[in-house]
Amino acid sequence: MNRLPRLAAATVGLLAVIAGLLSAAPPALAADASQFDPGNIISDYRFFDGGAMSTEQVQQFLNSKVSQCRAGYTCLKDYRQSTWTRPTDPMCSAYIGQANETAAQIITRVGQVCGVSQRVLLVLLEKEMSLVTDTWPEAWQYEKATGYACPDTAPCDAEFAGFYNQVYKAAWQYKRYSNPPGTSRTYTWFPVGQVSNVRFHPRVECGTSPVLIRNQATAGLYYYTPYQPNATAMSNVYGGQTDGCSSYGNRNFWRLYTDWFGSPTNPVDPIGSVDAITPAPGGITVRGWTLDFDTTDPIAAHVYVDGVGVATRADRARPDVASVYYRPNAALGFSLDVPAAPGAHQVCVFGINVGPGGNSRLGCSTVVVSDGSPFGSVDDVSAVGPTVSVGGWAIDPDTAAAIPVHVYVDGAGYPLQADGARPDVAGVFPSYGTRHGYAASFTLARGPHQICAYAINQGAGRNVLLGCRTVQVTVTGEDLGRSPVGNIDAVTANRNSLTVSGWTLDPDTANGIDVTVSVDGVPSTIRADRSRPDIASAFPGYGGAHGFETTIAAAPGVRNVCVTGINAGTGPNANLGCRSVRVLASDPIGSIDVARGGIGVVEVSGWVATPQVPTPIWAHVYVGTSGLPVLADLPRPDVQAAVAGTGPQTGFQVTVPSATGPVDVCVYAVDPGNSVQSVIGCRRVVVQ
Amino acid sequence: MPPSVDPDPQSAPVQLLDARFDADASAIVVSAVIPDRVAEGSCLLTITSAFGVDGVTAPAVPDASVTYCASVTVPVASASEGPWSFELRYTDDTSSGSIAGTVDSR
Repeated sequence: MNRLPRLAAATVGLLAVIAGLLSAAPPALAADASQFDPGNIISDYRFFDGGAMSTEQVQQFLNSKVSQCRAGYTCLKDYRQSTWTRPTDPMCSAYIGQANETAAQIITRVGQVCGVSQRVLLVLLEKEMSLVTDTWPEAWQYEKATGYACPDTAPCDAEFAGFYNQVYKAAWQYKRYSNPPGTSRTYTWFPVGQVSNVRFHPRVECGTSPVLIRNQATAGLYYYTPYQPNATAMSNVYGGQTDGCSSYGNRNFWRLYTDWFGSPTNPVDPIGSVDAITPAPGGITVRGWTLDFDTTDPIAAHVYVDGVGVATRADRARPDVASVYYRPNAALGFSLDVPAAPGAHQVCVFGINVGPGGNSRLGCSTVVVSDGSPFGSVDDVSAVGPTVSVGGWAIDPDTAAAIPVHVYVDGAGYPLQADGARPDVAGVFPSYGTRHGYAASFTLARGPHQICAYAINQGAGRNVLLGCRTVQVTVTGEDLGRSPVGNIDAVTANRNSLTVSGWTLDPDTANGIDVTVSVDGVPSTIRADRSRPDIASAFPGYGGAHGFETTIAAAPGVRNVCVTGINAGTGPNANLGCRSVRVLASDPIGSIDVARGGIGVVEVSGWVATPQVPTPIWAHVYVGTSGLPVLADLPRPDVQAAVAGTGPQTGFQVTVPSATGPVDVCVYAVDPGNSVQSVIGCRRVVVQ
Repeated sequence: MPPSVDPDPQSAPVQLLDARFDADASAIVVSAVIPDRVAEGSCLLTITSAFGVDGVTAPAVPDASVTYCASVTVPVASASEGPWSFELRYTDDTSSGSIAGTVDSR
C-alpha cells in the first residue's frame, strides 16, 4: 500500500497542503497562535529537562495516543529495539545499551543522558513522522523517526538510520547546538539574546525577518529546522495553507507541544511552594521557596497574616530547587518568623513578580497560635505488678524550655520536669527543641488507681490537664497472659545505620524477653536483657535486666522502625511503637585521576561516589571560578569493587575551555539525593 | 524534509545566514545554509580587501535536514583593513554553489 510521507520539519508546497488537509481537527483547547513568539518557541527549562517524564509516563502517554494498532503493524507504544552503549561526550552522558528496549525506555533514557525533555522528543517524533499517533506505521518511518540526516530526496545515512539512532542523534544534536565545553564554537549564527534574520522558506526569494532569539532552546530549533512560519502558516496553526513561502516545522513543534503538554514557555508569574506554616514561640514560622523565571536574582516573598503583610527575601540556599528548575542561582528559599497573637490565623504567602506577569499566591493555611497555655499528651499509663508507669510530653508555646508536669495519683500530686528527649515530638514542633518528655513510676497497692497529668503554664495562659487514666494493679508471679510493656527510648540515625534502644518486660516474668526490631518491615530479634537500673527501681520485683540496644545497617534515606516486645509465655505480643528516622549517607568520596592543561582547555577525569549509594552522583568541576556539573556515570568497575555499596557508574571525564596560563582546578562531589557533598581536591594546571 | 527547490543537480543553492567581523577574534566569520541537502562537502571562504585576498577551506557540516557552512572563519589583521568583500563556495560530490557579500568592521 502506497502512503504519503508524513509532514516533515520544513515540508512545504503540495505535501504540506495534503498534510494539512489530512490533519486532525483542532482539539477542544486549541493552541492560540497569538501566543507564538518566534524568538521564544520553548524555554530552556522546558526543553532541557531530561527528567520531564519517567518511562512509565512516556509509556502511558504513548498508550493514550493509540488505542488500537492496526493488525500487522507495530505502533510506537509497542515498538522495541536492542540498543548499544555510547560513551560520554560533551553532549551526552554514557548510554548503556540494553536488549529489547521499548520505545518508551529509549525515549526516556536518551532524554536523561542528553538532558533533553522527553516531551520534546515525543513532539519531534510526531512532527517528523507522526509516529506517536500513527496506528499503522511502516518501517521507513522508524528509520527516519526524527528526520535527522534523512532528507526526503535521498536515502538515510546508515550512521543515523533507525529509531534508537534517530532519537539519540536528535537529542545529541540539540545539545551540540549550544557549543558545550569541549566542542568548537560552530553554531554561532543564531546568538541567544540577539536579533537574527531568520528565513521563512528554503526559497531564497521568500526572505527573512528579524527575530530576537531569547534562549538556547529556540536557537536549537532553528538550527535543526532553519525556518520560521510566515503569517500564512500562522493563520491556522492546524492547517497546511501556503502562499509558497510557508514552512511548518517549528510551528508544528510549538503547536504539538502546546496541545499535548501545555505552554512550552516558562510561566511569567513567580512559582514556588510553602513548605511549612507552623506555630512557633510567640507567633508563626513560614518556610518555602519562590523564583521568577524573568530574573536569576532572588525575589521577594510576602507573608500575610490575617491580611497584614510582612516582606522577606527568598535568598536562602535551596540547591534542591535550583537543580529541578535549571536555575544558575540557588538562592531561592525563605524562612520567616511572624509574631502573632493567640488564636486562629489565616496565613497566605505570595511570590512577588519581577518583569512581565503578576504576583503568585504560593499557598494559604490556617494555623492556630496558642493562648499561651501548654499542650501535650499522656502517652502511656501501665502497670507491671505493683509498679505503675506514666509517660508523655508537654510544651508551653511561650518557651522552648522544658516545663513542669504534675502527676496526680489518686489525688496526690507529684511534680516532674518534662525534660526528657523526645525527638519524635521535635519532628512535629521543630521550633521548640527536643527535650519535652516526662516519665515516672509509682508503687501502688492492688486495685484500681486514677492517674492524671497536668502541664504547668509558663507566661501567658493557664495550667492544662493533659489527661487521666485508670490503671488496674495486679499481683506478679504466674503467667496471666498479660502483654509485655516497654518503651522505645531512642531511634538515632547514623551514617548507613540506625540505633534503637529502649526497654521491655513481660509482667508475668522477671526474666529478660525477646524484642523484635523491624526496619522497613525487615525484622531482627534481640534479647532485652541489658542492665537498666532505672527499670529495676521503677518495677520492684522484676530486676533490671530489661534493656535493649541494637545497631542495624540501613541504606540512606527515611526508614520506618517498629519494635515489638515478645510475650514470654501466653498472651499477645506488645507493639512498643514505630518511629521514622532519616539514615544519613556518608560524605561522598572520590579522586581526581587526571587534571592537565591542553591547548585552550583543561582536561579533568576521576570518580566520585557516596558509599552505600548505588546511583551516580555529580562531580562539580571548577576551572578557576567557573563551575560545571558533570554526572559521574562512566563505568568504573574498580571503584565498585573497592567502595562498598556503590554502583558500576562513578567515573567522570570533562574537557573545559580555559584561558592560557596557570589555573586552579577543583572537584567537588555532590549527592543532592542525600544532601551531602565534599571537596575531592584541587590541582593547579597550566593551559597552553 | 523540505522538498527539492533546486531542479539543477549541479547547482546548490547557498543561502547566507550570517557574515560579520568578530572583533574579539579579529576575524571574518561567515555562515550559510544549503537547504535540502545533508551531505559531506566543503566550504571555501575567500575575502578581499584593499590589503589583498585571503581564504580558508572548512568541512561543511551536515545537519538534521540541511547542510551548513558553519562559522567559516578567516583571520584578519585589524578592523582597519575593512570593509571586505567575500565569496563562500560550497562543493560536494554532485553539486556546488556560492554566495557573495560584503562585511564592514562596525
